[in-house]
Amino acid sequence: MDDTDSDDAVGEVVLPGDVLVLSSKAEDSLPSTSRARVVCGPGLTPHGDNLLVIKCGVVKRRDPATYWVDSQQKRRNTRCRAAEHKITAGILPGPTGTRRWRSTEGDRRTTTLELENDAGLCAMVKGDHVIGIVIGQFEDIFKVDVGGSDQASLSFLAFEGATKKNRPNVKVSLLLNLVAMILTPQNDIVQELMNLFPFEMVVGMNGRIWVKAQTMQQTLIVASLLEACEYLTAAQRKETFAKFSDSM
Amino acid sequence: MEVSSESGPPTHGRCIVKRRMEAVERSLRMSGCELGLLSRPDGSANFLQGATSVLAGVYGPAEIKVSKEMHDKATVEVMVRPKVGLPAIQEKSQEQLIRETCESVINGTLHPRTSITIVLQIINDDGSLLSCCLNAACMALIDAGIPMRGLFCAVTCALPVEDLLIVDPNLKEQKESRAVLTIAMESMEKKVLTVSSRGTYSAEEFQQCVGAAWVSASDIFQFYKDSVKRKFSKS
Repeated sequence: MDDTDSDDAVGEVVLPGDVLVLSSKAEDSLPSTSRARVVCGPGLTPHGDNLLVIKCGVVKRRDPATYWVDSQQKRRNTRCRAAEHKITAGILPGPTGTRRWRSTEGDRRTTTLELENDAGLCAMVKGDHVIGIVIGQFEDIFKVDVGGSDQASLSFLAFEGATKKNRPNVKVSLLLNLVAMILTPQNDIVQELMNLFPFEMVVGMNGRIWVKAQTMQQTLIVASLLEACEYLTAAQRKETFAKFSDSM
Repeated sequence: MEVSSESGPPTHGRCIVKRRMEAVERSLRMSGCELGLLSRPDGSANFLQGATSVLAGVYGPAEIKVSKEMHDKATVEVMVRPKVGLPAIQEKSQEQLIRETCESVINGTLHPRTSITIVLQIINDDGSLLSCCLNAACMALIDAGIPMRGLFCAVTCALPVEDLLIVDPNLKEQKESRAVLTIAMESMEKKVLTVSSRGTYSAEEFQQCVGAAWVSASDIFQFYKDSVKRKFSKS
């Protein structure tokens, strides 16, 4: 409907059908070898050399060339509860009521958090990188709960080095990164957390974060800090983190 | 035609165009749209064209029965609820028409094995009901954040007598017309998606209706944009 320059569109409300024309001026200023690869985030889809808007919302941009549409989509959490008994569930008191956390039985040092907006989990679309929990094993597929409307099915041949004879040893309630490449956030929160103690973290597009630290206690600390960050300003966060590093 | 977005309910649509388009007497039916007024559905919209009012709710992408599941795309369901009584044959035919129009713009492959349910509650019918239903469905889909290739809008044209074309007729005008056409258009290339008609009309008159719908479509799309901007400026 409307063709807008992608940089002019940042911060503007767009509707499905709008086309964001990738600005040529930004590309011209760079030598062709170091031309930034455009990353097309949620709400956008490639459309020839440009980006087509498929959701209504506000255009956001992050350097060098990551674009996405911030829509206020709400989606209830319609997770399959069949495997709940296999997964240790608990309640963590948060600044605004309680939030659920779940950890796997197999490895007590890991925790997954589910980030929920007002109405439920973030909605994910095909092609997103997600974190899932194995909830069942059938003949040659695993059923994986990715927090969506339905369970995902994953062939055991999807695992590296698996053959018909050499089946991967995947137990129920094991956590999976369904795609090898995962999102690695490099923001201030993660940088500051890194200074406290070493830990591993994986963020999935379905709103799950997987955390692993040296001990269960440290894992839970990271988990609750991440949850608390949602309601803290940058200054309050620094203060909280400083308190933690002193007490340890 | 003009669209006022700042104060008062914006207007669009209603114009009376004489044949050969030389004489233009245009009056607009007031129109309003409220987004996200229901809490339970994922997206909702109340669309008003004159005294015609339709409340739309969209649920999805949600779980679906295995029998209705499609492994490569989302299943779109439409339910039309009349003002009084139960849905009858007329509503069922409208449901099918609205469903096929919506399916043509919804990017269902992004949410395979899910359902997208659109419920349209007719609050008042004062003519141009089908176009109001389609416009309400589009606004509710936008509000729900369903991925779409583009938008669509619908315009109803009535042909009462020779040399007269009424865009967005009211119930009285519609009843007195020999033909009533509802034309749905998409926003990307402004092409016709759906045509629903009743009565007799010539090929030339059909072309004029498409032309009149094409002119009104730009105003409706602008109205959509203003409504969405208003919603985002509030939050």
